[in-house]
Amino acid sequence: MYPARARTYYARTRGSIHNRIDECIFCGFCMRKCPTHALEVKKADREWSINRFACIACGACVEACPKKCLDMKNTYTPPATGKSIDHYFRKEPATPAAPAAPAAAQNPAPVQAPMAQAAPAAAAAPAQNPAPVRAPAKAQTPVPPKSEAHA
Amino acid sequence: MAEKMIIPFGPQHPVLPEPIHLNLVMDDEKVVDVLPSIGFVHRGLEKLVKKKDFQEYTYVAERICGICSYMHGMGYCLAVEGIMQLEIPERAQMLRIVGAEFSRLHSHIMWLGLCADAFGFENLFMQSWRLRERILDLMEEITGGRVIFSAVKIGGVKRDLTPEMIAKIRAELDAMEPELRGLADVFIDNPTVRHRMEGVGVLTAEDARRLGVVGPMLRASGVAHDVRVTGYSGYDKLRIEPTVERAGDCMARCKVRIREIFQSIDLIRQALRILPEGPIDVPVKGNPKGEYYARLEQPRGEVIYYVKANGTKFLDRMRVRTPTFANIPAMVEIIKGSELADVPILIVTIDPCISCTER
Repeated sequence: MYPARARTYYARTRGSIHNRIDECIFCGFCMRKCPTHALEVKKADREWSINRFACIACGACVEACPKKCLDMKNTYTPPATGKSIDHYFRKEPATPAAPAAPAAAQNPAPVQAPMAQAAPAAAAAPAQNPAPVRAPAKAQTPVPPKSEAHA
Repeated sequence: MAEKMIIPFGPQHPVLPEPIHLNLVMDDEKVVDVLPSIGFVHRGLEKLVKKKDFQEYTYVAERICGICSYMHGMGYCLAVEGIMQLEIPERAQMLRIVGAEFSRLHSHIMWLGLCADAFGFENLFMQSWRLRERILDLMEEITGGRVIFSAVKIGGVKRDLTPEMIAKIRAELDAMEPELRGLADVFIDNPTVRHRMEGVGVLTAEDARRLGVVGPMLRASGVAHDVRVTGYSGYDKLRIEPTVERAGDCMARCKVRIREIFQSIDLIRQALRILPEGPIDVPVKGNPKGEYYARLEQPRGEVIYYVKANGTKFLDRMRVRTPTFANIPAMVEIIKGSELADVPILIVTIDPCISCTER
């Protein structure tokens, strides 16, 4: 009923941020660049969450993302009666199919980047297989057995 | 001898875009003294520079004020770029000018609406803001935001203008100009508007200089001072003349702002005509160290950005001297001795932007 004519938004309208979670490597750059601390990236849980009501849609995260998996959509967060946090979870692939392999190969090397103070050599060798083993060990996640199977 | 009484004006008042409190000491219907208190919108943004990365602070600087948002971002970026001695590409400078002049356009049209609302002419207020909507829609198409344009970053601008957008800007400005002239004619010729604004709040040129007034308020008193003439950030490539009126009353300030609307349209057209090809930003390496003093012409007057950096990614000090802060003493001066019914129009005539004043 209201509004009588739906408003058309422009292509560049800064509305809300969405993450193509299957491409996300949980590096956390977006979280660091966010001026309002609206983003939370949990590498261990493979979770990326955004506080919709803290986000000011400035686009700093979109520019900072190394994988360009964040999009600025031109639709605004709908008004609500309570603040909300949107969580994006990256599900583990069921079988080591072809899409999973490149994901596993990409994942470990950039993930190392934030923790790479102790192991800069590992960050410099992105495609090597030993790298996946190191990253999960440092992070002490329950994931290591699965990623070895995928690699 | 009548009894004096105090009427509190603000912080909430229909005519105020932002909260300011004035205690009007009244002698019947005449105001004899004004005691301002500011501080309702103070957010401590100058202290925040010490906690936010200097590049991230651009987002905060843009949000110091909603109306002058673009030029706050631009002023901050110009100051930091001055410290780091970055050469901004010409295309970026022209794009910044286009954004800045659009910011001035929307601010002045908004002011016209508020001015009409101040003396109760709501229909004119609505018509002005209807025209302003077209500018805001155009800005949303180009930069992504209606009020917080967020197009400037340290090193250049964030988004480029495509040829279709340039054509659309030209078409929109051509379509809007006759409508703006019609609107301006009502302000200048309508007898009721003239009755409310002519001869009200006269500020002589000597008083304006003495009180340190800036912006349209200064130019309406006969002083030809416009910071854009100094040619910062690409303005030296455009033809600019300060818009000056002699009368010094509210009608003169209204005329200055109306003429600046058309001057801004002309400047946008000039900038688009000479827009060179090239990159829109330069990479920013390292941290700034040093201090810099950037002056810009915001819609309300001259804004000064002083930034001091010490080599880390957090700035040491950032101080903004906003134009409204410089105009408030003049506002107090012109309200003294006026009638109570003229007080709203006198407050709106300085184009108060209290968010800027109180960061």
